[in-house]
Order: sequence, then structure tokens, then C-alpha cells
Amino acid sequence: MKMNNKQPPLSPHLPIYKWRLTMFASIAHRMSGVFLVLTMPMAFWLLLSMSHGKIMYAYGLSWLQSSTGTVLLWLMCVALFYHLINGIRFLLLDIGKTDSREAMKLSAKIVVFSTIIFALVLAVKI
Amino acid sequence: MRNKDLGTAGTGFHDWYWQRISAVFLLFSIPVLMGVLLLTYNGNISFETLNIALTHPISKTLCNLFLFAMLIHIWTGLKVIVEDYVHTTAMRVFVLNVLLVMLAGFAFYMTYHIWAELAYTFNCIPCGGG
Repeated sequence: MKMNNKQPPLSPHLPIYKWRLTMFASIAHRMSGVFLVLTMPMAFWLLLSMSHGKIMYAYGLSWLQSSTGTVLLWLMCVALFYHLINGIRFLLLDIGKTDSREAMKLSAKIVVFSTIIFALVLAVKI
Repeated sequence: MRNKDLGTAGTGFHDWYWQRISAVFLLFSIPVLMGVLLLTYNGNISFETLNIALTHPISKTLCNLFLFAMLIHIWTGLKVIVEDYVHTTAMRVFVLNVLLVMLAGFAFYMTYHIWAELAYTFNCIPCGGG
């Protein structure tokens, strides 16, 4: 491969790799992260506003229990659950607990399947 | 042995380190926040309970710490993504600066929002607590 001297090669060449579960887990970590950047500050703001005044509490609760609020809350909880346990997986990788190829494959399976189960349970319970 | 090559930014592993520190803090605080939000959604937490739980000075301090940890985590995470996918240096600098200004603005506004309730309580601000 001929190198271009002006632009050094940058890391994610997504189209040239075959899709694997570990790769999906990594990409999904980023995607859930971007989604959480958009929603978590709003959720924090909403909860604080609801704690500060009775009127805002009533408005916030009725918005949360509307269909838009419920769907957004579900999506946010699923994204957060995934980001949280995949984050634990990455932290374990950083301290060298799961740095073999088999351990990464197994932990990716555990993370993805437990997220699916969590999403289904939350969809029923919410 | 630590790597002596500090990379283009010249600051070594600071971003990496802060991302992990904030991750460990968020690991414990975010489930509490989401639990409170879900219980409020279900109607299990009344206004009185929520008001007492979130306006105690200790919980105000914890909220502020949570806010800073979340913003540090957002900044380090988005920086990695922008550095990976925005390939023109000028555009990258522009996008990162816009993000930094937005996050700093949010930090100021939310810190005010967390602590302003004290001012409402003592009637320092005309609009009152609602």
C-alpha cells in the first residue's frame, strides 16, 4: 500500500474489515456514547428541575409518562446499560484481566446478550 | 516501563487517565441517577422525597461532582471520536473548540442550576421556587 505523505493514515478503516462481534461491541460503545452525550445531560437537568419545584415536577412527570418520554427513557436506559457493562469490560482490559483473544470474544458475547435481555425486560416492566 | 513518546499533543496519557478516573466515578453514580429517574417515572418517588433527596447540601455537592465527571468523560470521549473521524486539522480544531465552549457553558449553567435553589429558598431571586 502506497502511503500518502501529506495525510498520515488515521485509525478507523471501517469498510476494509470483516464484521465480528468484538468489532460490533466496540462500535456500539461509541454509538451508545454519542447517544448518551445527547440524552444524559437532559435527563440530569430534568431530574434537578423536578426536584426544585412542584410545577416542574408535574410537568416533568407528565412528559416522562407520555409516549415520547417513555421511549426516550427506555432507549437511554438500554444505551446506558450497554455503555456501562462494556465500559467495565474495557476497564478490565486496561488492568490486564481479559486481554486474551478468547476472553475478549466471550466478554463481548456476555455484554451483547445481557444488553438484549435487559432491553426486553425493561420494555416489559417500564 | 512508561512510554517516552508523548504523541502529537505532547501531554502523554492525561486524556486517557482522566477518561478512566471519570469512568470509575460514573460507574457508581450513574446507576443511582437512573434508578431515581426510573422510580420517579413509576410514581414511587413523590415531589417531597425528591426535593429532600436532591436539595440537601451533600447531594448538591455530589451532583456537582457528578456533573464535572460526566463532562470530563464526554469531553475525552468526543475528542477521541472527533480525532478519529474528522480528518482535516483545521476542521478538527474548529469542531473541538465549539464542543469545548458548549460543554463549558453547560457546566456553568448546571452549576448555577444546582446551587440556585438555595437562593430561591432564601428569597434572594424574585422568581421563587415554584
